Amino acid sequence: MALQQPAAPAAPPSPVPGPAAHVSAGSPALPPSRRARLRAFGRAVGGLFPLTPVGVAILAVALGAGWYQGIGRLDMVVLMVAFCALVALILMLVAVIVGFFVVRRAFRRPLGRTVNGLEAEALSSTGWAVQLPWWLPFLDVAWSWDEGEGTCPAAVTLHTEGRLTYEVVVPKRRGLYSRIIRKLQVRDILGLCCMTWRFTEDIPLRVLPHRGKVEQLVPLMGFVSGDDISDPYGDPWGDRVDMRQYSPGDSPRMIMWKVFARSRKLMVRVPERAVSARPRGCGYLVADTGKRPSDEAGAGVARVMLERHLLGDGWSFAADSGGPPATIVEDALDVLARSGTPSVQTSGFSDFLQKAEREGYGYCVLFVPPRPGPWIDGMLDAIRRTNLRVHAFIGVDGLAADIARKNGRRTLWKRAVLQADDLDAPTLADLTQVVTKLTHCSGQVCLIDRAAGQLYANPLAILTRTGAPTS
Amino acid sequence: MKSLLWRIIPLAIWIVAIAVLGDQLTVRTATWAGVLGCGAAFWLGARIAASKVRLWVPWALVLPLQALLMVLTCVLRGADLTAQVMGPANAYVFSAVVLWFGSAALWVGVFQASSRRFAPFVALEAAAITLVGAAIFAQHRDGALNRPFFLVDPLWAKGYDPLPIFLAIGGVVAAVLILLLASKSAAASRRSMLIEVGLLMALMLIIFTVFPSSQINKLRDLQTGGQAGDKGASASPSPGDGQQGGRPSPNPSGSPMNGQRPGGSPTPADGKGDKKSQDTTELRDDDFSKKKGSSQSNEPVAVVLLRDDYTPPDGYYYFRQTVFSEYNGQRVVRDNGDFDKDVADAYPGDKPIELPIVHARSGIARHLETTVALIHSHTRPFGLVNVERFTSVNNPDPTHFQRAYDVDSQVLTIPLQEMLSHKVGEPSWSKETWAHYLAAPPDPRYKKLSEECLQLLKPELRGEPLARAVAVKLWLDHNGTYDLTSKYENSQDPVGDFLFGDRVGYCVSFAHAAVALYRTVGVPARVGTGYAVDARFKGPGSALLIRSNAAHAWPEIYLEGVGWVVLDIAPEKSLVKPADPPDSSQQDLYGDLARKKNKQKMPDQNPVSNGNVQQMMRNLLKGIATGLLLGLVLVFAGFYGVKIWRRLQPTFAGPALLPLVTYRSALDVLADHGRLRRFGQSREQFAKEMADVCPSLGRLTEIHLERSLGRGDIRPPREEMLALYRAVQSEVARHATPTRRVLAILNPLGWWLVK
Repeated sequence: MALQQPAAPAAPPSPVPGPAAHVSAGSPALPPSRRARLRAFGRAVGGLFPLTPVGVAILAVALGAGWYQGIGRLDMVVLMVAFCALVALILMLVAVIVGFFVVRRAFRRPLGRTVNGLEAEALSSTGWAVQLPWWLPFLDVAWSWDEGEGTCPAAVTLHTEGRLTYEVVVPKRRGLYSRIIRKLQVRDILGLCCMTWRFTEDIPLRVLPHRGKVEQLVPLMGFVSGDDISDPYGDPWGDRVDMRQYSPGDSPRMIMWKVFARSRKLMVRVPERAVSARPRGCGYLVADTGKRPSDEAGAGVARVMLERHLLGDGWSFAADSGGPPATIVEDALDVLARSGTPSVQTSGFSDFLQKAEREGYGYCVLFVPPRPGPWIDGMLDAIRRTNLRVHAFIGVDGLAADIARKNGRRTLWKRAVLQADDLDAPTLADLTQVVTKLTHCSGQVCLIDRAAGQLYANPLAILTRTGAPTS
Repeated sequence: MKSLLWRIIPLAIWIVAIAVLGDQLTVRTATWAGVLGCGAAFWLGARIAASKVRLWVPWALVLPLQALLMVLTCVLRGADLTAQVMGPANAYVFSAVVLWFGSAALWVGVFQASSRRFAPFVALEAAAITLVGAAIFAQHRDGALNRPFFLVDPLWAKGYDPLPIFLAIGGVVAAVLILLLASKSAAASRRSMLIEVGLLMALMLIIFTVFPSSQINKLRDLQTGGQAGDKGASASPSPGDGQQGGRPSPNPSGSPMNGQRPGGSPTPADGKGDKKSQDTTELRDDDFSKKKGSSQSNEPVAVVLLRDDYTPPDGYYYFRQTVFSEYNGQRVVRDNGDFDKDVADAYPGDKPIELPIVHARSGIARHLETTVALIHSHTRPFGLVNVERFTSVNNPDPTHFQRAYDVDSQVLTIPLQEMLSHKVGEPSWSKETWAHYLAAPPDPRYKKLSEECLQLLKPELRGEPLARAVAVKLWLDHNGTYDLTSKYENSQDPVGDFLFGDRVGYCVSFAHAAVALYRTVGVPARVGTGYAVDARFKGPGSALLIRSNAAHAWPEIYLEGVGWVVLDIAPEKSLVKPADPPDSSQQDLYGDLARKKNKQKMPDQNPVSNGNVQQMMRNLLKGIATGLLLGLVLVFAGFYGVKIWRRLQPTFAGPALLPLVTYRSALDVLADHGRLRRFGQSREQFAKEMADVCPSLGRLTEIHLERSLGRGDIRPPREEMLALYRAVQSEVARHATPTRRVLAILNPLGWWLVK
């Protein structure tokens, strides 16, 4: 086992302009078209219609049954039910109309807040709350985040404490957003009446990918830059030796049992690294531009690497549609976020690799989505052409679920019977296809399950063992 | 997260609904199976809602699965194996158990899955619950307040009016629906939800209490727009139809007067009476335009109390409302001139309405008093033929009746065949009167037909006018066919078309045809309309319930010294299905309601408010409201009392307490103006804060604190303390607007807020 030499001082990185300098968040502020304005007007007017479908149904049934059955056939039970339903409906209508104006009045001025720390696909609290007055009974307030240009798609969960309702959101996609449009509903407790309007909060919002359990993934460091067992004769900050912690997929023959006996750590022997100055590394995130992007897990892994400085010194990071490459963490996080809301065209992975090669980078860490797309052929070509060592990480959320769906072909009957959400998720076949192509082309491919915090060093073997179709 | 309570409520509602439904429809074991099926349905619904399966899938499966269940049930019932293994009775119970468990699990499960996935489906769930609630008590529809027996009989036996009970059941169903909707609401996780739902329950109670139950029948008239008479006017096969089915004639003598009572007759709307309140059952002007099946309603429209025992000799009670006697060239219509004065055009007011009728000699007719209580409003009063006097009386029960009036009638006591020797018309009649009641179609076919009818008579009887009329009646009885299908609505000459066509028609056609022929043979005649009720339906009591299908039109002839008598046609052939026999218990119920004002109740059968639950609730709520108001007044009086006491206390308090009570009174003054010491604020800080408004408070605070915390023996002079107190009053008032000063005087709670 050769000890890794202390890394020589890295060459100063070439000055790369920060991405935030010339990239604006969200879409350019174009004047809305007449059609869009008409649509918005129609939505606003429609929101003022105070009855819900349940309310309309109950109004129609109460009037019809009360008139024809209650009065026409002197059915006293039906008559009374219809009469009570109508009175309750009118009461709720009055309450909702009054409540609508009261709540709307509370939001007539901008709030002037800032929201930080939102993460995609993770629960976050924004501190936004609505307090209903005590003198307005039978009312409930609810809202959701409206999707549109420059807004963040998110699933909103509401919680109540007495008459106070506050939101906990799960942003669906990382990105840089400029505003939140809340679709506010003042409704009654019976669900008969509801009035809706949209409240726009102009607020800069950066939603980063969620780290998941990748943060706890110790072997990740070994895969990128050696292992964490320091040489007692080396520098105090640690030299690297040619072994790393075990991960599923490693051959049992490579396990160092003596080390295990001493340290209770399961280590495996890895090829000896060159005893030379550590090469500078760069990172690139391939964004999924599909209808339901599957690159959030990969982006989460990239975030951990950037925040933990696992790319070493003098790194550079770029992403599809993320703007110019970044060399400091804050800018890189912006790049990472921006890649979730594609609004800036970048030159792509091939150009990034060529530039990195010119600038003396030694290896490239590639973050790839688990679903193949039009990007895969271009990426493989670029990998084949470059002299850089390319290490690919495929991020997934829940490999076990993927395996369960190994035969999940989107057949017609499944589309008809099952909900679309389930069908849009990447399948095991997709994952296998990506892994196979990358394994054949690139040297090292790792699969990281963000939800489980699990790393698979030899994903093809795992996938083959599960019976996934391989090409 | 919804609390357990709100998750249990829908389950409890469905369990109760299925249990009540099962109790009516199946055996008890199957009902329990249905209840268990409900529990399974909630589990199933939650699973389906949480799954990725699209919602149309369970909806598409529910019908085939239900069909499968029913097939399985039939197989289990019919199979020899199950019958041999369990016995026939147990096999039946087992099949019912399978059916009820499966059906409840299927349908309730799909409802649950749907409403969990999409909130609007809760409307469907609510409709299903309402349907179950309404179906159980549906028998009381169309005024049959005596049904369902399992509910009404025990209530009525104790003197409770069933109508408010049905309304209360509706209120309970509405409350259940509110609970169901609230339990599905997203706000159900809120703590205050229970209070809000409680408020809604109280609202339901108030709605029930103030519900205008006495206006329901008026609303019904509004609904039909005065046209609902189609039902009655259409006049249906009436009781007489039953005879087509081979029933014995109500007239044992076999008189030609018995037989069919085809319904409906023309009622020219002459503008008299209240058109808006025209009853649903009155005969209308469109006499020949009746549609088949429109008269199948069996709704009660009035109840008549006979004050004396009387059975009409011809077997039918005829209640005349109006008559048609003026021949307009095609048929007889309502006379607007000097004839037919024996019919009232309006209801009696303070004074009775006396009608000019011929008083028949004793032995032929007698006097009879009746009371008519109208369940539905009518444009004109009607009474037993022939009416002498209408007298207004108090409505015995405004909840059930629109109005009531007494009728004095002169009724026949002998059958018509015993009056064959009577002449027709009155010698005192003028020529115009004779001409009016004998005006007949000039068409020679009428003459020819009448002569054909007279061939039925023995030659010696052909000179008797009454015998001639009877011959016409017999001919029409034999040659006419009763049917509700009208073919003459667009005819220029409906009477001629009927009489010289296939002679298929209903009471209107027969009445007009008979009158035309009576007049042709020289008998004064007219058409009477109103109601004809079979005397057999009266039962042992004195109440006679008139239903909408008793609406009728009939021909009348005038006999000298007797007046107008009914000589009705009874077709021997009928194409109409006989009507259902009347419900005698309903007749008794309405009779008791109409007699309410004179009812002698036993002490143990004398519920509060005359058995009206709604009235009882009104009284209860009124008591609660009065109590609350009184309590509020007392509380306010107490607050004002304390306020005045605390203000006056500085003038008479002892020297030891004087600094304390003066300081407290000063704080009261400030509190009345909305200036309160905040929580955690010391007295000195408060005095300093108030220094700009009320500088004298500083000195008062000093004295008070010195007395309380320091020297307990100081005795400041009363004059000084009172001067400081008055200074505080004037300083605070100086800084307040006039409105604020007035409000401060009126404020009873200022002292309560002082800390």
